[in-house]
Amino acid sequence: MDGFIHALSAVTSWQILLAAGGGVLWGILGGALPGISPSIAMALLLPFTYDMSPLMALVMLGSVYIGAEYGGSIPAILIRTPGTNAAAATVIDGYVMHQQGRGGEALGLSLTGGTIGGLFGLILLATLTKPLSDLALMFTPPAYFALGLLGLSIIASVSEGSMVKGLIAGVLGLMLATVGTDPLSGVTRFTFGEPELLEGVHFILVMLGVFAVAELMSKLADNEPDDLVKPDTVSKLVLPSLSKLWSLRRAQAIGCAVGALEGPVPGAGGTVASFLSYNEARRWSKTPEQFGKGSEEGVIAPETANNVVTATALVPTLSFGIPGSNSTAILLGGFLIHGLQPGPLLFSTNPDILYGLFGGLFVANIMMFLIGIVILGPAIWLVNRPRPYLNASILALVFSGIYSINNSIFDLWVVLAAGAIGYVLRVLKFPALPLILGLVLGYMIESNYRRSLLLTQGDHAVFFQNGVSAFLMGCAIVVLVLGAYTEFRRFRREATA
Amino acid sequence: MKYRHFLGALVAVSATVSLAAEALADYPHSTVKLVTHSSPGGGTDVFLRKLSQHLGPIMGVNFVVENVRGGGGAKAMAVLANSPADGSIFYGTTPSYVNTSLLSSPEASFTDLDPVVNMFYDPQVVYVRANSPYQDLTDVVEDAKSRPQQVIVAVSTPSSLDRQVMEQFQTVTGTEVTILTHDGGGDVILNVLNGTAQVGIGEIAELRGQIDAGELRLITTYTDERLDLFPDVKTAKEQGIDLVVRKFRGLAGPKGLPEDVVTAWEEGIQKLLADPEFKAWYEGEGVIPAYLDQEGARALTAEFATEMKAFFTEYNIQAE
Amino acid sequence: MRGMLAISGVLFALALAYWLGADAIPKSRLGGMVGADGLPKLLAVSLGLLSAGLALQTLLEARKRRRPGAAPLPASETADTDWSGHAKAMGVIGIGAGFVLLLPVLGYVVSVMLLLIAVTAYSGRRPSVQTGLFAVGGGIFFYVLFVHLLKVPLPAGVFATLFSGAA
Repeated sequence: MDGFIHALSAVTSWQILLAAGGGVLWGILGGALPGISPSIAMALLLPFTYDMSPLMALVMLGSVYIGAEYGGSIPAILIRTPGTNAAAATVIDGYVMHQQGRGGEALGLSLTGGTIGGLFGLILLATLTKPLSDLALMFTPPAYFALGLLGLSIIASVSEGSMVKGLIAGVLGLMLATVGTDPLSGVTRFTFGEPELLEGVHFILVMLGVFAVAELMSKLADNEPDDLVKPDTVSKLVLPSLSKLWSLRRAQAIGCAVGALEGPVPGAGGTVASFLSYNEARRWSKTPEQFGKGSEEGVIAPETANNVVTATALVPTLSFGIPGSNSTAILLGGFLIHGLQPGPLLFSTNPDILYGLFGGLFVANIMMFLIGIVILGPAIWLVNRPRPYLNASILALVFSGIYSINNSIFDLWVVLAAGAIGYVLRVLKFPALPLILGLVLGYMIESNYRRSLLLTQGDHAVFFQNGVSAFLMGCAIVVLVLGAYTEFRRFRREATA
Repeated sequence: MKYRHFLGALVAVSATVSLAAEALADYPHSTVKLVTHSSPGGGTDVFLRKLSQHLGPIMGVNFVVENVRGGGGAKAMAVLANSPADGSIFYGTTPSYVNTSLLSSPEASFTDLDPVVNMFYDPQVVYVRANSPYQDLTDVVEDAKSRPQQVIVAVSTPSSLDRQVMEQFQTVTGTEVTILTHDGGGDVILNVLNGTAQVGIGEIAELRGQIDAGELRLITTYTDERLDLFPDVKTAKEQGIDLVVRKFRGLAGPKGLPEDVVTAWEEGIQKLLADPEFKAWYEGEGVIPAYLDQEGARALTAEFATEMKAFFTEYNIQAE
Repeated sequence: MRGMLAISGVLFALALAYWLGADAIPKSRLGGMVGADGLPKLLAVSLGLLSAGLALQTLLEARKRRRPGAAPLPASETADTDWSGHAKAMGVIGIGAGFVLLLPVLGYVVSVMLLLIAVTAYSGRRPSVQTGLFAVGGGIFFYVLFVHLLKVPLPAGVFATLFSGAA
C-alpha cells in the first residue's frame, strides 16, 4: 500500500511526467532507427541525467528502454528492417501484412500489444518481484543450455516444407556464432587475427543484411516498374477494436506468459522471448497456416512478449544489482551514479524511488500509446513515397545505423556480405530465420553445455536431472517431434498425390 | 549478462563549460579527452567521470569522457596511438588493454601507448554464500584436497585475472578445483547465489549490495593488506598462500608526451587522491589507492604483461 | 536441379574448410571436457551430412518429377534462373561497397548524398533536379540526425581537413 502511494506521488509530479514522455519519445525514435539499440539510446541520454533527481533520471532511462523496445517494430513492419534485435520475429508477419496493404493494422496491433504487455509486466514486477527473482536463480548452466535448445527447436516449425534447408541455415548460423573468443578457454576461433571479430559477429549486422538489404535486392531484381506505388489500402494507423483484441486474446496471453517467464532470466532477453512466443502463438493458434502470410497473432504475440520483458528484465537488476542485458546495465549505471545500490536492500532502504520508478514507467507505457498514435500516421505516409526514394533512404539509414553501433567500417562490410548471402539464400529458397536463430543462440548453447559438463565431470544426465532443464528439454523434444511428424506427413501426401 | 555481442560504440560527450577553466591555464590544453573502452555506466566510465569532476578544478582543465567501445579496447588503443602526444588525450587503463593486445593482433597494442600514472588497485576478493561452511581460504584448500575437482570456483571471463589467479592457486596449494568461467561478474554472483558454484571470485563494487544484505560473505582478499572496509577478512598471504592480484587502474597516453605534461599529471593525481570528497568516493567503492608515477606505472605494466604472457603461453591461449 | 546439386557441393566444401579451421584452433588445457573445437567439429560434420542430404533430396524429387503424369515445375521453382535480375540485385552490393570505400575519403555527408542519388538512379529514377535535391536534402538530414543529434563520430573525410586547414 505504501508502494502505491509512492507511485502515485511520483506520477503527479510534472518532472516525472516530463521525464517519462520525453524518454519514451526519444526511445521510440532510437528504436526505430536500425543500429541504435535500446542501450545506445539510453546511453546517449545518460550524461543528461546526472544532474536530475535520482527518480527523474531513472524514470527517464526506463522510459527510453520501453520506447525503444517498442520502436523497433515500426521499421520491422514497414520496411522489413528490425530496428532492434527483439523485433526480428515481428518482421515475419508484420511485413507481410504491410505488403498486403495492412501495414496500418499491423502497426496498431504492435502498439496496442506492446502497451498491454508493458503494463502487464509492470504489474508483475511491482507485485511479484520476489518470486520472479527466485525464477532467475533457478537458471543454472544446464537450464540455459536447455533454453537455448528450445529456442533452436523453433527451426523445425519455421522451415516446414524444407526441413533440410532449414537445418542447413541453422547450422550456418551456429557456425557464425563460433567466431570470436572461446567462452571457456579464451582461445580465439575463426578471427583471422582481426580484433573486430574478437567479440564475435554482432547479430544485428547479420539481421539487417539478411532482412533489409536482401529485401531491397529482391525488390530491384523483380524489376518493379518505377512509380508503381502500391498505396496501403488503408494508409493510416488502424487501432484494433476491442472485439478484435478479444479474438486475439490467446496470442496475447502467450506473449504475456513467455515474457513473464523469460524476462527475469539474465541473458535470455527480449529476442528469445519474441521468437518463443511467436512459435507458441502459432502452435496454439486456430489458424496456424496463416503464420508467415500476414497473421495478426504473429504480430501481436511477439510484440506483447517483448514489452512484458521491458518490465520483467528489471527483476535481476533491482533485486540482485545484476543487469541481465546491455540496456539494464545502463539503468544500473543510472542507479550507481546517484549513489543508489540496487540489491536486496533497495526495497527497504529506498521504497520511494523504487515504487516511484514503477509509477513513472506505468505512465511511460500509456504515453507510448499516445505518442504512437501521433507518429505512426506520418511513418506510414513516409514509406508510401515513390520506391526509388524509399530504396535510397533505407540503404542510407541501414548504413548509418550500422556504423553507429561500433563506429566501424568493418561492420559495414559485414552487413554487405550478410546482404549478399541473405539474397542467395532467398533465391535458393533457404529460410533465413534459422540462420538468425543459430547465431542468436549458439553462444548460449555452447558455453552452457560445456559449463554443465565441467560441473558434472562429463555426466550428461545432468540435463535431465535438473528440473528446469528437464522441462525445457521436454518442450524442445515435443517441438522437434511435431515438426518432424508434419514434415513426414507432407512427404506422404506428396508421394500419394 | 552477455555483453560479448554488444559492441555499441558511441560517444557520450558531457557538455562542459570552458569559461571558468581558462583562468588557470597552466596546462597546455583547456579541454582534455579521456577515452575508455567501457560503456557508459560501466566501471571505468564511472571512474573517469568522477575523476573529471574532481580533477578538473585541480588541474584547471575541462575533461570530456569519450567511450570508444569495441574489440576489447582495440579501438580505443588505436585512437590513442593515432592521436598527437601533446597532453590533449588520455586512456583509462585496466588490465584488459594488455590482455587484448596479447590475445589478438590489434592495429595498435599496449606497447604503442605510454603509461602516465597508476591510481588504484581493485581488490580481488573470494566470496561464498552466507550459509557456506567455508570461513577462509584455508577451509577451501582443505576441502579441495579431500575432494579433488569437486569444489567449484566461479570466475568471470576466460582471460580475466580471476581465472589466472585461480590457476595459480592450484599450483601454489597443490589442489585441484573445477574453475567455471562466465561472461561477466554478474553471472558469477548468480551462480554462487544459486549454489552452482561454492566459491566466487570478484570485486567489491559489484558485491556490495549482496554483502550488505547478508546474502554473500567475503572470506579472503588477494591483496597485500587487509581492506579498510572489511578489516576482519584475512588476506591470502596471511593464510600462507602467496597470491596478490594487482588489478590496476591508471592512465596512459600516446608515446612521447612532453615532460611538463607528465609532471602536471603526476602532481594533479597526487592532489586528487588527497582530496577529501574524492577520497570519500573511492573509499566507499572499496578500491585501494596505489599512486605510482610514470616510472612506476611503466614498470607495473611491463611486469603485468610479462606475467600474463607467461600464463597465456603456459595454457596455450593465443591469437591464431 | 543442377543448381541445387552445385549448392550441395559448395556447402560440402564449406563444411570441409570449416573442419580444417576447427582443427587448427589452438588446444588449451582450459577448454574443459569438450574443447574449443568440439562444437565447431560437430557443426562441420552436420553440415557435411546435411549437404549430402540436400543432394539426395534433390535427386529424389527430380526422379519423382520425371515420372509420367507428374505436375510441371511450379513457376516459383524456375525463378532462380533469372540471371539479369540477380545481377541487378548484386548491383546493390556494388553500390554499397562503393559507399563504404568512399566514406573515409569523402566523408559522411558527401558519401551519403552520392549513395542516395546512386540508389534512386539505380531504382529507375533518372537523375534530375528533383533527385538531386532529394540527395542533398537527405544527406543533410542524415548528417544532422546521426552526427549532431546522435553524436555518432562518422568520418569527416578530406573536406573537413581542407576546411580546418583554411580556418
